[in-house]
Amino acid sequence: MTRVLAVGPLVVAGAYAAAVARLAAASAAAGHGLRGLAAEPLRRAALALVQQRLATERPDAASRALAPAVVAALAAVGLALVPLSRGWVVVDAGAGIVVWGSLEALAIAAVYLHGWSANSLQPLVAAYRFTAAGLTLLLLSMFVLIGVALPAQSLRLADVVDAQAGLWNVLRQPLGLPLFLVVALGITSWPPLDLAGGADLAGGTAAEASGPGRLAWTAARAALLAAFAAMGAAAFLGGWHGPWLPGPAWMAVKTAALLAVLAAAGVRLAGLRAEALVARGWTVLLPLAFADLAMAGLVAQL
Amino acid sequence: MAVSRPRPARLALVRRLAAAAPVPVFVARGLGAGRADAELAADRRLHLVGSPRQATVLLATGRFPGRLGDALARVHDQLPHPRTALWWRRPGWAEVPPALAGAAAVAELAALPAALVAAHRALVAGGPSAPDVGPDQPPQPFEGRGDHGQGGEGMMGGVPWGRPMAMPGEDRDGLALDELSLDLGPFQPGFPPGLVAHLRLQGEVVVEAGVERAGGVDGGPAVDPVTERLGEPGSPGGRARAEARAELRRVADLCRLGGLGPLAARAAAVAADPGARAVDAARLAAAVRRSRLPARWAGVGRVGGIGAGDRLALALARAEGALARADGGAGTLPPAPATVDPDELAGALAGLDWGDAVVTLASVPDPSEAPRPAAAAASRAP
Amino acid sequence: MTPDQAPAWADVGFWVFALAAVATGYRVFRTDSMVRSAFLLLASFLNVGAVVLLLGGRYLGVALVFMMTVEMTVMAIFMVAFMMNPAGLNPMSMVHQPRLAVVAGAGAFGGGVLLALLGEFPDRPRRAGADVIAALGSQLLGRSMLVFETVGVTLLAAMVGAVALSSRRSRFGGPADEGSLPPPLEPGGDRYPAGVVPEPAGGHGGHGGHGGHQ
Repeated sequence: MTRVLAVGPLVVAGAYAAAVARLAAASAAAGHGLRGLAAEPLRRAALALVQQRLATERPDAASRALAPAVVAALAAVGLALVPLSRGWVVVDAGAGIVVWGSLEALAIAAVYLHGWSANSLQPLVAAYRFTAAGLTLLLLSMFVLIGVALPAQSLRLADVVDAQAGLWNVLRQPLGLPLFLVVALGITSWPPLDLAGGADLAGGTAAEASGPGRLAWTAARAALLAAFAAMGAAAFLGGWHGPWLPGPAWMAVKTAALLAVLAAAGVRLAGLRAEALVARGWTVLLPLAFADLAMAGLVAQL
Repeated sequence: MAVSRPRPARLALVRRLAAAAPVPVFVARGLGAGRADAELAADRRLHLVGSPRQATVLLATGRFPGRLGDALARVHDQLPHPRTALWWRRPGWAEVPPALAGAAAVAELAALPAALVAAHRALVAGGPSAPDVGPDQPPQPFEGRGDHGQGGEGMMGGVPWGRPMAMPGEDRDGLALDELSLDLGPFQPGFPPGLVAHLRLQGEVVVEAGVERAGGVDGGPAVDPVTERLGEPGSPGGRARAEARAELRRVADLCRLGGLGPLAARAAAVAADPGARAVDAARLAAAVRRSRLPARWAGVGRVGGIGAGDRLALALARAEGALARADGGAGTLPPAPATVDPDELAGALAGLDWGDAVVTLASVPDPSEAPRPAAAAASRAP
Repeated sequence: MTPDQAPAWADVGFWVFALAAVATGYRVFRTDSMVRSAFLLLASFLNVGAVVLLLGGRYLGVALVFMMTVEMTVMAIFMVAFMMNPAGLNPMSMVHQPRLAVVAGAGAFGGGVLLALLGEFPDRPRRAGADVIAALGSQLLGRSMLVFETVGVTLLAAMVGAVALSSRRSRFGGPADEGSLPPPLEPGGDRYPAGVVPEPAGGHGGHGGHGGHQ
């Protein structure tokens, strides 16, 4: 039961790591150098705390406040599911993969609520185009995660990690990790797949958010991205397996590596437009996910 | 519209951190200043934001006659406290829009970053925040009529509380969706100054559009005091550099719209660098190509045969050619894209979704951006 | 686990979730916004899923949460896209056929109460440590695989058929609902919803697809 207390620091550390990764990648791509980046998230958070919290005319205040809280709670659940070391996991769900799927679905619902509740145009439109892509990516993630469950013959994440003792899933199922990273970016609405945000819609669902509300929304999504990175590390990169260092250290290293990859993609690649993402999702990415699952099934049979 | 009155942060630590954060600036482009503010993206201390709700400083550039002044007042009131306004203007302009009555004035582009940072630090330290320009009330009060305080009668349609209810219309798929009329601009980030698009949307798809330029071509060409110092615009070197600068500013705008802030910062840095060479522009073009942004936008908003992605690639090619010419090389410039007839543009917008419509409008050349000789520009200063 | 072995927090949790499910379910019909009602219904289902989890259904509870979230989100999307009266700006009733609904609801509740009080439920406690999920998987993909595959293909056929039926392209080109009218707002009246004006001949102009066979 005391393990639950570890979730809070994990969420904060995850959000911070995702923020630093993105700031570092942006700074490097702009040619500015990496000086003073460690405290940059704190500076931006302090600025958000100084600003006034505005509200639009007759928003749905409950949903508006609930959306970042739900996303943060989902990030906490996600980080609680991932095994950090041999036999050490905060919540040992028997159907961990299915819990992860419902986590993604609830994240989509939370982002939609955040956009709808503002009673403003840009947030609503952003929420809609995000949900269209999000439902597509949900299907994608389910196939990819089922593929990961096949070698483990179990839906428990601890078993999934144990099954990678000999060979990591990223080598066994090469299509899995790239597809999972696409899902992570899309569902968290993180650049380059920032459909719920976007400069063309004045910031998307966060267009009317200011001050502490904006900080909460960004931080919650950063924490959720870190949870996705941790899940990717556990499901594809062998989790806590690794020589010399203890299990949690390897998990941290692998999660940080995935966060760096995601951040670099965000600053150097332009995202797909909403229509293009939905079209490519159904015509290209889903067949790739089928292929990944079929390969995983064949390999599991042998 | 405000929920909580601003309280100065009690912790000195919070205030110190906030003062050191990048200054969130919302830029309102007025007539006569073109896209010059795009160069501010290069400064590490500034953060050009896409929504006034995120900003502490409102940067107004150029002139704001008539309706632009009213729109500016609305945007000014949308910034959260603590806030202030800064105005980049030529000294001696008589007409002062109400939103900028108390704003500090800056005469030179190069002095803007320092002025913005100073204004931000003064605000965070507890300085006075600019008061509202307009009344803080909804245009129509929510006075209940119906049984539960609703404002209308009957199931649908009508204008309850002054807010017209959407009614369905035919959709391209044969469904009947609600229609919504809205105006985009004039201070949409990425738009040229004074551009307003009147859109009718179903969902997020534009059904019908009308494009209007506040101030017309009369808004004047880009008045850039710094360019005039680089060399006589009549001479080929200075003129080419001014063209390259204008193209790179457009590239920076488009990269920001595409979500590539760091690339926009690089484009802005090359634009602002008086010693930039063609190879810098070439490297930037390679980075933009690698990001696949022109490919993503390839078919978006085809007007006059070229889409937004092609316009971006063309702008990069022209910038590179212009810088090569400024260095003294021979080189030819790809021809500038022709200005677009507003009706053709409105026709091209129909069927696009909102995001694509914004990209299209930001990428088509504005008549006010056509290069004109400096002598004529000086004589037209108000 | 038998009721005697269930920990106290499971009992408290059961009552909390059950009452929350009923409360949010009631609120679905008393709120004035379609999106709120959709998400309150989701909240009700989430509480039911929590109850199922407490009862030991480790897969079924999570699957319930997963499916209901997606369903309610899709429902909320379509509510806003097609409803002409969002968020109660105009007065609108959220219930249809209220009398029949009350009778049906009371009847179902009475039937459920009778079943709960008079029914004989099996009293076989599950073996501690039994792998419920593996047993469920063996059942789904073993003996019952034919049933689930058939149902899955049937659902797919139903979805494809619904899209084909609702498509506006008729077999002979042109709109499929050419000349058709929705029913009037009052029976026998002449006012139609959505501002539809009956035209004497022809439909709404060329929305037609291609000619010939579809």
